[in-house]
Amino acid sequence: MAKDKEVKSVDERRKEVLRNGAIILSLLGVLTFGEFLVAVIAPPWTFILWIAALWKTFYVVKDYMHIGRVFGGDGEAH
Amino acid sequence: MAAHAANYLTKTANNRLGLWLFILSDSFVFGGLLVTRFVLLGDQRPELSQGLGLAVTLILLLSSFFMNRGEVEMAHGNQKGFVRNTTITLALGIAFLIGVVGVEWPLAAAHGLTTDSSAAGAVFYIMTGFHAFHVLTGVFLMYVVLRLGRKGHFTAEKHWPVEAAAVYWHFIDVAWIFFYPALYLMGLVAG
Repeated sequence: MAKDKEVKSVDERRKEVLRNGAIILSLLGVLTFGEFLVAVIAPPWTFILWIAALWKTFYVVKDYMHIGRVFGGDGEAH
Repeated sequence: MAAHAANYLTKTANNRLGLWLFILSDSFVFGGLLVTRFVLLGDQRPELSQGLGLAVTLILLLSSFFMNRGEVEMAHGNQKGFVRNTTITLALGIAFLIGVVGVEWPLAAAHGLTTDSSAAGAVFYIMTGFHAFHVLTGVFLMYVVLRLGRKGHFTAEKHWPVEAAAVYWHFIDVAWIFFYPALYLMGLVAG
């Protein structure tokens, strides 16, 4: 019974992490399209492109590269 | 058994630190190339297909998504899921390479943009070439990890090579996140 619960919890955790990955992809896609539109509509607004690039980097480094693992040992779950 | 597991965790923590130090040092080279682009070209950019640039960027972002899925599946002991997602990542990586080196380079050359035609040409080929070389090594690394994974070399508890390949792949993605706007979006087309 306890093992069933544990397996279910691990599976739920897996699904949650996968869902988070999909949300990050959506955000990255929206930001990339936003960059493209800004460049086409208003080319001089380069600062917006820099902000978008930094924002995207933040998501990739935090949620895909899991930089927290470097500082938190192996405690951080996948 | 517990001591063996603890030893593996210590080794993984050390390997992880080493990988991130390598990434930090490599990012200085990418940063140097980015600075070179702005010093040489200023508010101008090479004449490139913005649509193709967007397409290859989306391919690379999508590959990062599947790489993340592959790593998560391995971390939960799902070997099939790992193989499926990593294979998709590998295919997308090759598609990115074809898009940049196989399509964009000949297109740029056809428009007169070569390594010695102008500063814009030199900057474009060195930036995309250096990045493409990283993609190529990433693809090779992923192929090795995929082969080992198929043979059952990794488990939910022991899969450091998978994590390393994933982190390296995402780093390549981060580098392109800056190269894409710098080459395709920022400034006006060089005359």
